Amino acid sequence: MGRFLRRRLLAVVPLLLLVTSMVFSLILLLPGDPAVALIGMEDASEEKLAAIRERMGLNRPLVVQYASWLGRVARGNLGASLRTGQPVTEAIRERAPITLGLALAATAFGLVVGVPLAVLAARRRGGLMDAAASGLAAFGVAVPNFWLGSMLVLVLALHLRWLPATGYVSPFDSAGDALRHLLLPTLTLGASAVAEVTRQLRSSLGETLAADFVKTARAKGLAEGRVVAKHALRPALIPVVTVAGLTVSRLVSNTVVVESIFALPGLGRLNLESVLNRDFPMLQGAVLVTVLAVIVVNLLSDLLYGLIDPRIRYG
Amino acid sequence: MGETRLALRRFARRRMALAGTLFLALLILGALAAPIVSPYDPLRQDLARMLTGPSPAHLLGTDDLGRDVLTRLLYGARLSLGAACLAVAIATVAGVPIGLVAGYLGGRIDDALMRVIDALQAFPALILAMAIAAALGPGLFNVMVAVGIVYTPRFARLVRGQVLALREEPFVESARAAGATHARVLARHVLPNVVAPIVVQVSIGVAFALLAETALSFLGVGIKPPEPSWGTDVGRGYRFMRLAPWLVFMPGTAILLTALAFNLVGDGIRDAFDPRQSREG
Repeated sequence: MGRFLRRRLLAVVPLLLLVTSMVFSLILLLPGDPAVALIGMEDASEEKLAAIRERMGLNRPLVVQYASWLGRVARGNLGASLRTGQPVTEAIRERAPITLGLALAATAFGLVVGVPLAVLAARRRGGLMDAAASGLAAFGVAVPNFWLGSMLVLVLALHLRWLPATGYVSPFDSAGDALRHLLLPTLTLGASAVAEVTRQLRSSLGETLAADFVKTARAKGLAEGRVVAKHALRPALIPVVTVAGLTVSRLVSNTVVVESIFALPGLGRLNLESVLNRDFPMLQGAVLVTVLAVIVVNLLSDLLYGLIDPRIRYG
Repeated sequence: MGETRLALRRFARRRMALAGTLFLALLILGALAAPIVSPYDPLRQDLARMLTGPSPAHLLGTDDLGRDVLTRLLYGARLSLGAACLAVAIATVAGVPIGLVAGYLGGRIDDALMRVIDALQAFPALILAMAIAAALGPGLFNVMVAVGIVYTPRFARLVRGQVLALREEPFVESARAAGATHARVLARHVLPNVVAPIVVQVSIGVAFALLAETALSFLGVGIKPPEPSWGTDVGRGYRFMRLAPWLVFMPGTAILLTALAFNLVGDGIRDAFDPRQSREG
C-alpha cells in the first residue's frame, strides 16, 4: 500500500504544475493588452494601466510572472478582487463551506436513492422496476439542472409552499431553517448523482449477480437480501468508486447553476460572479481552489479503490 | 460495407434509438422550416399580448414582450443546436488527431499529451468553459470554442485507447512493414477503424454541448438576448415563473428531450456497432 500511495502522490505533482499553469494562462487568453482588458476600456488612462501592470507584474517575462504567481499561491496569497479589493482567500474561506455542504448533501442523496434503485433494478432485469430505474437514469443525465431546479421551485415552493424558494441560512443560526433551505438545491444537484450511481451500479451489479461466487452463496441457502448485501454489492461498488471523481467533478460544475438559481453564496456563485465581472484574480483563485478540491477527491477515490481492490495496489 | 449495413439493421431494431432519431429529424426540419411553419417573427414584440397562456393563436403562449414562444423555440433550435454542433466539431478536430498521434507513437509524446489531457479533465467542465469564455470575451463563437476545448479530452482519450489496441493488429504491422509512412498508416488503416466510436462520441457530445451552452446562456455567459436561444429563454422566463410557468417549462423540455434524443441515438449506434457492449443487456 505504501508504494501505491507514493506512486499516486507523485503522479499528482506534474498534474498540479499543469493545472496551475493553465489557471495562470487564463489571463493570457485576454485579447489585446491584458491591462486594458482587466480594468475595462473606459477607465484605461495611462497611469491606471501602468499601475495595474505593476500590481499584476504584467511587465515581466511570462515565466517570471508564473513563478512569482505560483510562489504567492503556495504561500496562500491569491491576490485581491479587482472590483472590491477583498482578499481572494477571504472570499473563498467564506464561501467554500456552503458549496462543500451542498455537494456532500447531494452526494449522500445520490447514494441513498441510487443504490437501492440500482439493486431493485438489477435483481429483476427487464422488469418494471428495471425499466423505471433506467428511464430515471436517462432522464437524470439529460435533464438541464437549471430547468429541474426551476420546476421544483415552481411546484414545491410557489404552489405547495412546502419549502422556501431561495436563500441561505447558516446551520449555526438555525439548523432546521438551514435544512429546509438546503432541500431544493440538494434535490436539484443530486438528480445527476442519482442517475450516475444507478446507471453504473445497475450494470455492474447485473454482472456480479450472475457470477459463480454469488450462485454458490445462493446454493448455500442464503436469503436473497443477504446475498446481495453481503456478497454482490461490495465488488459491484468498485466501478462506482472509480467514476466517483468524474461524478464529483460534474457535481461541482453544476453547483454554479444550482447556487445561482437558489441564491446560495457559495464557491460556484463566486466563480460565476467573477466571470460576469471579469474579475481575474478572483476568477483564478476560485477556479484554482475548485480544481484542487476535485483533484483531492479524485486522489481519495483512487486510494479507496486501492483499498477495496487489492489487484490495483499491487498491480 | 457489409458490417455497416448489418449495424444499420441492428440500429433499426432499437426502438428508443429510432424514437430519438425521429425526434431529432422533426426538430431539425422544424428549425429549418421555421419561417414557413410560423407566422410570427421571433424578435417582434407585441406588448398588448404579453404573458398570454397557450391558445389557438399562440400554441405555447407568449413571453413577457409578447413574442410567440413556439416561434422562439423553433428559431432557438437553430442557434442552440448549431452552437452545440460547432462545439463538438471543434472538439473532434482537436481531440481526434491528439488521440491518433498519442496512441500511435506512444512513448514520451504519448506521456506528454496525456498529462495535458489529464490536467484539462481535472477541471469541472462548466467552470473551465466559463473561465475560457470570460477570457476570450463575449460572443457565441468564443463560448463554443470554450465548450469545444472542454470536450476535447473525451475524443483524445477515446481515440488513443482504440489506437493503442489497433497498432498491434497484423494489418497495421504489415502496412508498416510494406513501407507506408506513419501518416499513411494512420489515415488509411487506423482512422477508418475508429470512426464508429467517434460517431457515438459525437452524438453524446452534442447532448453535452447543448446542456453546457444552454446552462452558460441561462447564466448570462453565453448567447445574449434578444437572440432566441433555449438557455437564454429559460433564464428570462425564470423571472416570470409564478405568472407564466410555460416560459420556463417549454424551452426546458425542448432541451431535455433533445439531449435525451442525442444520448439515445448515441447508445443505439454503439449497440449497433458493438452488440457486446450493449447497455440494455
